[in-house]
Amino acid sequence: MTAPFIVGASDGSPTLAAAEHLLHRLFEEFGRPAGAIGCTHLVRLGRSHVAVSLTVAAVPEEVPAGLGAACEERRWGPSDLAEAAAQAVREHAGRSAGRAVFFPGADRVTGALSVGEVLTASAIDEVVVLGGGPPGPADRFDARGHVRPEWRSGRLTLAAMPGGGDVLVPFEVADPTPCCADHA
Amino acid sequence: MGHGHHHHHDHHDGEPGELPPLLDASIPDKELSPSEVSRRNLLRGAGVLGAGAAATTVLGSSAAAAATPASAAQVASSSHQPRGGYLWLAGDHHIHTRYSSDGMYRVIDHVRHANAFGLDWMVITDHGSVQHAKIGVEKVNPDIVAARSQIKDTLVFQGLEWNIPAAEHGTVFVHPGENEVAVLKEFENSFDGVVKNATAGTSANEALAIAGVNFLADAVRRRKIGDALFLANHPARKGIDSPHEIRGWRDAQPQIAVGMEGAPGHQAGGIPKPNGPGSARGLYDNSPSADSFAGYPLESYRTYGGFDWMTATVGGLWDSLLAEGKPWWITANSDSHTVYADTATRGPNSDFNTNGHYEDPVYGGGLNLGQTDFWPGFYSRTHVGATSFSYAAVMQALREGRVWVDHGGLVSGLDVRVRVAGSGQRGVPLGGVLHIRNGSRVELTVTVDLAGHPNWAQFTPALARVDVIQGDVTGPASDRDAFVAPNTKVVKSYEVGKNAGSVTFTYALGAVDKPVYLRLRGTDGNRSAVGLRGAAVDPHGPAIDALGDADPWKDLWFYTNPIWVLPRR
Repeated sequence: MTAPFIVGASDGSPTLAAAEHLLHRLFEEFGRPAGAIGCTHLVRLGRSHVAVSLTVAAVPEEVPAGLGAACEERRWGPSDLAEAAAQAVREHAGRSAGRAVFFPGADRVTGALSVGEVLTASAIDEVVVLGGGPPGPADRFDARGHVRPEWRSGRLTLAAMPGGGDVLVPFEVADPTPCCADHA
Repeated sequence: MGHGHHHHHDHHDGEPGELPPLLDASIPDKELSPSEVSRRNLLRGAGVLGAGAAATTVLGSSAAAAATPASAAQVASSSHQPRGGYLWLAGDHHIHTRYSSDGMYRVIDHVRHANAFGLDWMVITDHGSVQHAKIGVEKVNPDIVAARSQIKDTLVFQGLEWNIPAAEHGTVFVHPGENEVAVLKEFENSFDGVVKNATAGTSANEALAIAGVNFLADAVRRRKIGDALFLANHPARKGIDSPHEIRGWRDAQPQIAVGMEGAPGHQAGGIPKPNGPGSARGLYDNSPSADSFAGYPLESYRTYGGFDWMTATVGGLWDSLLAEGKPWWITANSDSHTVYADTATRGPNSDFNTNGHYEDPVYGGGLNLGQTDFWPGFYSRTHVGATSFSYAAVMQALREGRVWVDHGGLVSGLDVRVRVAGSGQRGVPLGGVLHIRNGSRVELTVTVDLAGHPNWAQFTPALARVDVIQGDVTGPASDRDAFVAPNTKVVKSYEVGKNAGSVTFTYALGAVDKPVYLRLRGTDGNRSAVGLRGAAVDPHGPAIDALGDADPWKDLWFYTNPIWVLPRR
């Protein structure tokens, strides 16, 4: 059961990882209702950064200082961040965009399972495969401890790709190589 | 050319490379007689001298070709056939040393390996950084100068890896000369995204990148340096080289901003654990960010047969530029920082931040199985058709697109020509433009020298198939962010299945009554998949490289740059 209200928030996080940190912090602040969904959203207008959205049980009375936030008609904080927060709310509500960090069944999509099990165990509606056709329910999948489905046209969609040995793995890697990585 | 030895006097077409002095790239104007200079200027004005294609667009006026630097010598039109043969020189324009914060090796370590592995030219490209701008760009120069004298048959350019403002990295390099350090240093201090705190994807930073490209052109024009080139590195890795930025660099200075890596380095990145890093081939393991171009699909963040999505997608971003008639060439490089399965480690007591470099590497006793790179020449090669064995000729060949690339020594040589069928012409080489009477029958001939000998993994690759890719040239795109060429597809495939000797194909285009371009791709046939734009476009293209399980030696491809055919109206 999805909670009734969506809060959007932004502290200007430059990266997905920083935005995920903000999501954790806000769920602690506002509480995390059963079936809560928390997403990151890429904001490309003005200063590009990553905003978040999360489902909550009630419209917050206030939000942490310095944060831009939006919920229903209310706005908090700096106007540019509040507008980014409102974008996150619109994408989440319309299920048009947003990358889910928290979603029902996320804790069950870990390790090795089948594509069919991914769909029945979680709120993920669909698994798509990069560079390939749609997977079958029996196709093997390894979550590799990091699953971030995204809203696409109303469906929570997990992008997967070959991970070798006929096993699909999530497109998104938990710790991608940073720019100018120190390889040595 | 061949591994381990050099063929500087090899000519694929069997003719010696004697050019009349006025056409010879290596002879500057001041060494010609007044009448020769006059004649050369006449040819320049007629658009005959200079890169036939490396102009504004291949559809552009001859005035554009006349803007070619004085070193140009290729003649690329049906009425003025290329003269003489080209020296096909293998190289790599993307190599890091201990003057990079993520590097380790001496310059000479790379040069000796590159030379042993068969490279004729190479570019040292340490990362632009505060330390490099202050220290490294100067301190690396004596090492490069020493390597030039110690290893005489590999040309060693000094360059740097530019943090392109608002975008990815790029190779910037210059012709050797007394100002090579000064120009690079001024460029880095004025235009490097990290040094200038200009990495964010803002329009101001995008403008700074254009200014940087213009600075290089100006330095050449004012003869501070003999030549300069810029090529975009690992362009699709993080989705931050938007199509309009690539068009912007190119259009600002088409003689300087000449291309991009068709295949990134770090090709050992996908070797599975426990014998390899078990990461992504090319280290292409990123996801969209707030700074990435929103239009790029997730597919763009991965490699296909080791090649960048912009190049590997038939009818994709690269083709969208070629379909505009815009010369934009591809290369393949090692991006060598730290070599897979090498035994060296960084020198002890190193202090990069203070010294701008690491101490000399030392024997570490173990195998660096988590490293992702190969030595220059070991796996990735960029072959350029040069008019002589010289720094100037290598740069000019790159500028003119006489370039093909391969992985793992898949083939030894390529001679690709487009000509009017039955004309007896030798034809136009890679990067060139064949001008024809409207409706003339045109043919493409391809001679492939198969591998013939083992590569550096000690096996002789067999070429399974060669694909001919053809597209319509439709002129400048109204959308600067376009990355699709709807009329480009694989038009013919030739099965080969051999690893020695040579094979020749002739592909008949028929009567050509509209501008088109052609390019080639070949594979060992080990991994193929329907291309991203469908089976009707590419029935058996490169497959997406599996995360953590992409053995680079079992998936080899070559790509050529294009040749255009333009009917006169």
